[in-house]
Amino acid sequence: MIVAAATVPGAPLLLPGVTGGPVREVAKTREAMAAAVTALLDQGAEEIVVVGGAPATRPFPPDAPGPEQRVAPGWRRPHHDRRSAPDGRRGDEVLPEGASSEVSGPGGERVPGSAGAGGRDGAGVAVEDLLPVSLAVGRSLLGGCPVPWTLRGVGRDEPRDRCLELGRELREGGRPAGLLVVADGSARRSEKAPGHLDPSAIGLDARIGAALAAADAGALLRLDPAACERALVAGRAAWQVMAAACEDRPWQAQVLYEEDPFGVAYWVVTWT
Amino acid sequence: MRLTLGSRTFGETPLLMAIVNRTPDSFYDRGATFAREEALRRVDQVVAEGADIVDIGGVKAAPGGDVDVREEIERTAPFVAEVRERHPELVISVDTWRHEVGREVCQAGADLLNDAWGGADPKLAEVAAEFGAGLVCAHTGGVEPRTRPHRVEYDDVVADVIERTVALAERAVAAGVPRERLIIDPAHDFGKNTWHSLEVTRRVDELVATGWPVLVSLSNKDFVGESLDLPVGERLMGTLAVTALCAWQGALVFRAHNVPETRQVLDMVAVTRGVRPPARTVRGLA
Repeated sequence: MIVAAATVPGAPLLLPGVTGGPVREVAKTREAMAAAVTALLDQGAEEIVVVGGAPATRPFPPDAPGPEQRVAPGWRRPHHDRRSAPDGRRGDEVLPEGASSEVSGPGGERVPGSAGAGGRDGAGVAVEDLLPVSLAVGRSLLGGCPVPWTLRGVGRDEPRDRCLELGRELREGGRPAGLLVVADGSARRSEKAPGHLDPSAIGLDARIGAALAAADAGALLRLDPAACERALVAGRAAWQVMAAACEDRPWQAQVLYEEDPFGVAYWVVTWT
Repeated sequence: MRLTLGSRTFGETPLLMAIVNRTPDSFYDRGATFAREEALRRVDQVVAEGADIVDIGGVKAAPGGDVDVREEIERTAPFVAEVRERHPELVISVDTWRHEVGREVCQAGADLLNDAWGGADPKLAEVAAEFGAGLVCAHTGGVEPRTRPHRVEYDDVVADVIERTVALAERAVAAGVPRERLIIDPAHDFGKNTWHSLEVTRRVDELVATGWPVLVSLSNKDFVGESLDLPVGERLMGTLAVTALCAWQGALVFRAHNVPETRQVLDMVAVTRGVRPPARTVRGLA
């Protein structure tokens, strides 16, 4: 039973530490994303189901190795307790050995060797067993989460009918569940956007934004997969799973964030 | 490898030691910060520009007018006290080989004694131990302080550097200086001709491999000038090139005149080595 749903963006730069030093726009986005998780818990969710685009539809274990080394080779887990001068120049002082090497896993148990909700390192792991970026971003919001969580990849190319099935299956779980959907709008909103300008992008994003803001599951289900693919909308399949999971009742939508700080449309919206 | 200076502990990110001369005759600045006010202004400036350490010196390295112990103390100790008051967190180093000077500057608040003349006065290590200060163990090939290299030969200059600096460090440990407060320095140009300094530069990784933190003092030196046939005022690019090479090989402390330029080079090398994250990267990641 779904008690609340939220959608958050899933760009690689939202993975902790991947921007290197702090980036104001990213901090703002992540703040809204954290608020969305809180909203799910406030609705009485006893588990969190994270849904995000993946190469193929499949579940991942909660401590699946993350994709950080593929996205940002040489990346290190951020040192949150590293001291540095106010201007940030001298981030040189070292952390005691073993600091932050242990964190809460799903359900609050201790997961050795994972930082934040960061999972194991991915060295030597087959690429299909690495968590997709979307799910890794979702998981990164769940450090310290008091309820268990599951990670579900949805094939980015899944047709609408399959998304409908997957969404309806999610609804059937016995426990009150919060759905955390990781999805992005178009990456072709302007000439400076990562995918350059596609004239259809702005209109398509506007339809997505309106559907999210009105908790209009039907409108999300009507999104055309081919049009979304052309406009580099990375969230279509995940949103259609969300819509199918939530189409059985009306929801109150709250838009916590709606911006495109780097040329890609991001939303943080809760349905409660 | 850990380095503790004052109350701060450092890891792999390179540290910039800015040179502040209280001398009327040093080769690069030619007395620009001999006056107290100018020297204080220089300290404030280098701190703002990203220096981690200031290295205060009261006697020029090259031969020249005699500066006795009393004069050297007068040039350095009261100044150290003033800098300590203005910058409580700053790591303060003093460039001296004399234990009497070391004692006075440690009492005034110095954290590190930069013994650039390679243990010429063995009592300096005892002073460092007594005050809990750090010590730089430099290689000079055994020459007297304030002398120039003349017809120097080594079987293997890097082996000699390692043997002598590590021996100095172990001697300091035996004298009571904590291991984590010791640094070794090949001392480019000291007891070395340009060929020797270049050999040390390309093999700095062998010094790093000893496990002792390595300081390099490259700034505007003659080996850079002779390599490029350039006078003192035109050696910045050459200095930065060898700075990058030493940083890449893992040297930890860089003694320098030109702080913003050196800071930028060290940061870029540190980011490339992966010991410092990029300042802000979003390209291709949205």
